[in-house]
Amino acid sequence: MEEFTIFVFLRKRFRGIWKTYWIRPLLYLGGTFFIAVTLAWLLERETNPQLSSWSGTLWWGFVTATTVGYGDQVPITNGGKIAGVFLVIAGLSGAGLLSGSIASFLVSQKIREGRGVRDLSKTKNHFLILGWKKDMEKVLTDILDSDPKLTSSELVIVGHPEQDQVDVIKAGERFSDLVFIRGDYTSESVLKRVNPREARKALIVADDAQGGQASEVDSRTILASISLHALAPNIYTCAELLNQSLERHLKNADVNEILYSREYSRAMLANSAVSNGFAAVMHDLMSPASGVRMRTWKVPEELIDHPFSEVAEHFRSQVGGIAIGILENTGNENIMRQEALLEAQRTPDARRLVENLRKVKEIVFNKPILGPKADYPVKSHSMMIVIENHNLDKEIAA
Amino acid sequence: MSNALAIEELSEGIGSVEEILHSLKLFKGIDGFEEVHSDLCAMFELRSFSLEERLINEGETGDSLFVLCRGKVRILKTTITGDEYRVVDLDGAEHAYFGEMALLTADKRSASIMALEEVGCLVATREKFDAFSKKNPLFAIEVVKRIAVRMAEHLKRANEDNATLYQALIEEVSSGKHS
Repeated sequence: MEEFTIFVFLRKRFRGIWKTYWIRPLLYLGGTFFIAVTLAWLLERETNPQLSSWSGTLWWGFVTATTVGYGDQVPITNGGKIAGVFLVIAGLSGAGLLSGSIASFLVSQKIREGRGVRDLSKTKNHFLILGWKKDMEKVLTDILDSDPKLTSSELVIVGHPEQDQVDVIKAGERFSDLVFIRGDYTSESVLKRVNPREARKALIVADDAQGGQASEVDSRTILASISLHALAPNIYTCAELLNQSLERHLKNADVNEILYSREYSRAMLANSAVSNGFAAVMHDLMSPASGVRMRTWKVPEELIDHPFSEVAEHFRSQVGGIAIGILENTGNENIMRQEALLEAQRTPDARRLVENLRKVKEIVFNKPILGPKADYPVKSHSMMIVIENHNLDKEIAA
Repeated sequence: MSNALAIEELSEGIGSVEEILHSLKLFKGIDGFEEVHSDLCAMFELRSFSLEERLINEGETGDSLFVLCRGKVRILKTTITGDEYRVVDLDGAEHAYFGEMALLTADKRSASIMALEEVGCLVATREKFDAFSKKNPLFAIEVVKRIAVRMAEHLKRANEDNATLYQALIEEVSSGKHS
């Protein structure tokens, strides 16, 4: 009974191997090699002491087929020499077959990469972008410009654009090692492939490459957030939302930051109608090329719970930036919630406890306090919102 | 532990034990204070505590009443998770007293009390109070009444707290989805 199953097992494996493209040429070449060696041995053994044993002739065959030709063994008979010729031909063909297979394998890998088929199970700390925008190249350029430490190899994009769009972007020097996966970015099975648990951050853009109304685009965004968080509940997510009325759904999907791109555009239009030069201000703040940056800074340990004016002065003297406000409740949401819960319990009064617990429930993460009073305390888990002008450094340097 | 030298020092700083006891809400205005005052003072022992020494530990069974005479103390409680926090700081000048329920029954302490500096306290045990009560039952009854009133207040407060928590819990569950 045991033999039967082994036989069946072997036959199954064997059938699979028979179908590969290299097995038959390999067998032909192998067969030729061994037949040639044996023939040479038969012909030479009587008269040639160098090729009298079959194993010795086998060695000569190997040295000949690989064209090494040490010269310590040489056929004397004509038949032996002819066998040698066949060995060389077989050997050269075999070498060609080997290097050809390797090259073909590597090329097909590269093509699959370009097409968006790749194994990312080992990737860590990557920046995920879900969705494709018509002006994707500009978006990517801006992303890389705004963070000098970010490299294109850390970007992983999942989307469904036209292939030639991807090719054009990847042909550019800056984005040649960008990782692109083709697929439906709202589906869990596709997202699983990009290892979201190990990603540092995810950005879900309003995908306009596939067309559709704003509500359709937003629905895809919401679906993508839900799928993403099903796979990686703790991943920090920013999502672009076109229609503000759908924000509740996005919040339910545990998105950390929502970018209301259309609202902002409208707000800018409205503002320029009212005040002059507002657009120029926004341009300088937003554009990486202007040299002006608005960014958040971690508050030094020793300045926690100190008044805003004091912390602002610290940043002015140390960093040369102007603090315009505080971003409260930043960082790991779970840790903050735990700390707040512990703090809430530090009272013997039941009424105060209930109040404290309610406040914990209502914590707003990443809450900006712009233009606070001078004595407003900078609490722990806060960051300072600072505007820096890097053009000034150049002046000093010059 | 009572230290003879320390007691002398303390006694000087404290003033009359009788005056202190007379000012406490526990004993103030009870008829016949004059007659019992020597027995009452004898009930108390003067004890000193050094910095960070604990007078009372939360959760322990107590058997003594403490009257703070000199120095500052801190009242500490622990949360369910074992996190200890400060409730309030008290000064000896206010002559605060705690643990009076221990005079009546083995009382589980609801908070810890830690000395913030050199502290002097008058301490009376349940045993001594029992002896005092047998000798001066009428006075003792008044004292017991006042303790009972205080206990009733605590009970009322506990019931109110219960109602608060009950209410909050119901609201929580009925509000359903989390944020």
